[in-house]
Amino acid sequence: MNVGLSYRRPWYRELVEADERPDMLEILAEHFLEETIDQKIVLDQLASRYRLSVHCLGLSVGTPSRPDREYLRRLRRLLERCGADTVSDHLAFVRSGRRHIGHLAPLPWTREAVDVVCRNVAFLQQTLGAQVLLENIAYVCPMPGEMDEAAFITRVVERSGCALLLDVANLYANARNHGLDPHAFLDGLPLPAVRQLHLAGGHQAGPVYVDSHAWPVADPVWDLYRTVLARCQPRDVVIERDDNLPTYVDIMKEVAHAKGPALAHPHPGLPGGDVGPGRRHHPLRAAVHGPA
Amino acid sequence: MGLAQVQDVLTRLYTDAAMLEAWLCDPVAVLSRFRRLTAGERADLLRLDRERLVFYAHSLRHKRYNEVRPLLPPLDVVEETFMAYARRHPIPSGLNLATADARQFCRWWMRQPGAPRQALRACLERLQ
Repeated sequence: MNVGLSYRRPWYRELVEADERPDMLEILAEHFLEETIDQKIVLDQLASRYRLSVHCLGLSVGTPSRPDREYLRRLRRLLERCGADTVSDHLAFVRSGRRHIGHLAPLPWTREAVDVVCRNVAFLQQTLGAQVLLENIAYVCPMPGEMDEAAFITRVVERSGCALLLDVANLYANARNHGLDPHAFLDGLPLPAVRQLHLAGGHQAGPVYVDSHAWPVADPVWDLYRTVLARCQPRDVVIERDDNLPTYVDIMKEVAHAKGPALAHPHPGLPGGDVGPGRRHHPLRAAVHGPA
Repeated sequence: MGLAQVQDVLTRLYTDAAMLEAWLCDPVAVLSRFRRLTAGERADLLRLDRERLVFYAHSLRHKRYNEVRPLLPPLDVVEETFMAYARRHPIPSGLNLATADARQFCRWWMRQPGAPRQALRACLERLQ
């Protein structure tokens, strides 16, 4: 299992020069889609040193209409440039038609939404030539539906063959905000399909715990992380931080902390940890069978 | 079945302050504008938690501001002006939504009385 970091620009110098490094990096696609010279240089430097995993915010897999063609063209070029074999986004919608929400919104957990997501996953995997990983989101205002969230996720995974990106911090936030039992939620998930984990820290804002990615990972999230690791074998664990960025030294302490439990559960297919920069795996490998 | 219509309603409630205010007064009247919704979808939408809906819409505007803040001129009134703009103007399309939003905001602000036009012009040039 590899423990990585979600790339942020202020850490660039250390990521390229420091001896202490994460096992891999996750990059946010939207930071590189304009294809400026600066973006290309950064991307090439990172890709020469790390295996990169590409994470998106804009695919809107729960929207019935398809993503913008130019967005997809550039995303495909980005995947090729950094040799990524997977692309992840959220089980959510971020736009309706051409009207953007600006953030991730929960889908109604309905059969129709399952159909839409599965259709979009098939289209994206074909168009991008990479396996799609879908992430559970944190939500403040869930939309009532025909099933619970775990059943919705399970149907999507079983029908589409996508893999899961399980965000442990989002799971914790939803449990805290909506009085859910996170262990019961895990019981309802297709855990063999979990390919990647996310860890992050949030904060309480009035009546709501906000998944702000602005603070260190909280103790209850670390506890939940250990529980999750005892029950599934993800390929990668990624520490996310979007705001209130700590120094590289401090964020690497969190990476090291995540490695403690991670090392107790080595990935059966990756005894040596990282597979090295730029190595492509076979796309569209069924996540339910795990990586080779 | 109208997932697209359900998402249209939700997106407008999240991003259009006037529609959210109308919803809080009379949600049934707001839903009457969306004719393709089924009875079940209408019932589900009417079950949305009002307090959380307001909290979410408000947090979205703050998040939107945080995305564009590094791109805008560091003026004292920029936050309150942006929040007023964001209540009425959705995020424009573009590969980089924050940049597109910052451009649209600067152009909008330029048209308002007493706008700091010189700073906004410089910002727009930088964002080109």
